[in-house]
Amino acid sequence: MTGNVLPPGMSVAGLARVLAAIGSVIGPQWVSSDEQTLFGYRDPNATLDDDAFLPSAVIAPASVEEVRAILRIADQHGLYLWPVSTGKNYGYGGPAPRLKGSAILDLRRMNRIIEVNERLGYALVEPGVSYFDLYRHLRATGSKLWIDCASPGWGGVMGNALDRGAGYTPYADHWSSQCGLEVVLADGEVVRTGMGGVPAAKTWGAFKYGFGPYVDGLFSQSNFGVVTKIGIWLMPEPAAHLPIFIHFPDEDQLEEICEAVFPLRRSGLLNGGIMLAGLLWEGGGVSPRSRWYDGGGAMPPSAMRRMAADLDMGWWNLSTCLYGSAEQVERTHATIRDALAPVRGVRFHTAADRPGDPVFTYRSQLLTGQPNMYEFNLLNWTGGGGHVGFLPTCVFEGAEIARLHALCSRITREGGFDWTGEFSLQARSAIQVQLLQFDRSDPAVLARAHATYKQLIEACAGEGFGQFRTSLAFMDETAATYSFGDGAALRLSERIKDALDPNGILAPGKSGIWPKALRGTGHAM
Amino acid sequence: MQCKLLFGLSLAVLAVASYAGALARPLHSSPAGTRGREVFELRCAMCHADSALAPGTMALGQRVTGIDRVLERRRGGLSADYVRQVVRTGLDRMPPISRVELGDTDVDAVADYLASAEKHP
Repeated sequence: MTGNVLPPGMSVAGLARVLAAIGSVIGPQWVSSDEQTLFGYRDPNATLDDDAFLPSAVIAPASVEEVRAILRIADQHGLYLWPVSTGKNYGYGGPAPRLKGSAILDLRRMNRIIEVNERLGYALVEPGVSYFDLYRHLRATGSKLWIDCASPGWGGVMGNALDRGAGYTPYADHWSSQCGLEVVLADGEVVRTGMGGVPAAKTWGAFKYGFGPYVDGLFSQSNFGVVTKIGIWLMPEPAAHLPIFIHFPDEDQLEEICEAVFPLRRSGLLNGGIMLAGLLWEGGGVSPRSRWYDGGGAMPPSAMRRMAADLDMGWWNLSTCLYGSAEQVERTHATIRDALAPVRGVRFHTAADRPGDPVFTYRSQLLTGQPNMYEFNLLNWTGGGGHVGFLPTCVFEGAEIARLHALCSRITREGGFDWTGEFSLQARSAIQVQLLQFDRSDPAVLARAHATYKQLIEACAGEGFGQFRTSLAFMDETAATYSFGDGAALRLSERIKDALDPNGILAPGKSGIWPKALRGTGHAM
Repeated sequence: MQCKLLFGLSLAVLAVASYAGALARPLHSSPAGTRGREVFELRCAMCHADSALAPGTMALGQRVTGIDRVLERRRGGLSADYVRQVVRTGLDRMPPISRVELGDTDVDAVADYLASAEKHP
């Protein structure tokens, strides 16, 4: 049975014609509009019901030439396409399209690991390569290179980097580790960025910047082209490493913790990912909410204190890893402990303290580039599957981080939800990684979650805590918070969009960027 | 200082070694009956292994009682049709797995593997 969603402005017959044309190029078995297939491409976690972001079809090419052909046909017929790499961007929309009725351009069949350069430490991969795929390949080939993976690990190396996601090792900033792209533009032209533009160059994966404008960023979180190859830097395996875990007992000591950690980060003593997780993130993967509290509204502090005591966790739980020679790791470990010892109630751990502990184990894996699926356990906290990521940014100042947390925590709790989150402490900034979790089966809860998220956007932007990544339903609103110059940033994006994709077939609405024909037509939220 | 490798990390290395081993062996050349096990190890075990790191196992243990939460220990007691349906439509926190990601042949293989109590090498 075919699905009943059509692309805007297209009839049933028109959709059938364009899909048939595409099927004649890539094989009809790789083009589908049947309901069961489309069901797999909805957003199962959204604050809106399933109807909001349904596709009209799924198209799965296997090569760059097929992508070019599909784009040419789609452009001729006005078919909107939504490219996905592995389609696992759950919490931010998953595989679903922003514009209902778009056809999914599922790039998972393009899953080659084209090159791994062991000496220089990079890989060149296609869109469908997951972290698990690349990790297994490296281990199977005896490589001494590590990936840096997002969590969970079934996400795409390319997709996560293009969405500016992050991991846990010194290569945690995935976009910063990107080196070179191959992009198919809406008119079918293929461009290789950076040194990929010099056909005989061996530096495509080694040297980021070509000559002239550095255009790679145009294809991150955008809808200006379809990326078909990405170079990604890989970390040489260190001689030694030691994951460490540091617990702090009280919610109100966030500023104190951050101020104590900052000089260690700034000096480079701590040079990997530093995650400072709240209790509900750290404990939410090993226990359901119902174990601690079964009342309505946010979990009260008394229940959280009992949870922390029973699980032997802190209210704040820092995890990071030391890398280097064995001597360096040992000395750094001692220095870290001395520096943080004055922090009230601090407790230091290594994984050896708790053999087999699932939290220490999964974090140790991530800190050493080993993908896992553990954080899907966080969905067991409330059940119901609903979750959206809220990621405001902040300077790395303890007072500001505490202010951000207080703001988000208050709004979240007033909305009747628990604040589940962690802070990624980077060189100069901090990112709050908050999961707004809710039970999707209750329409009233869904509506309240949606309203709470909108409040978070507005309040944080007003206080200068801008988001850098968001879910489908909030892309327009988030883009609007970049209001300098009366929205000059978005207007710039629109001008680029109109130049590169004049018919607007690629990912309409991605990051709030709409093609000219759809601006002001009511599709924005 | 010899850095300590975690006991849990060692387990993870063993688990991933099996993935790597499965990767090294092309699925289409596997003897009949082992393909389902290979697909399970490669594509399902990340969530359904016997481990606290496996969210599918943990969710099953939380959601239902009276059955073994580890899927592979229920082989022979699962319906192949049920497995196919869950893979394609998802269940609770498990999202659907599309035909592009995992083709019908592989889904049939893993469904038959879980439905069969037969031992495979």
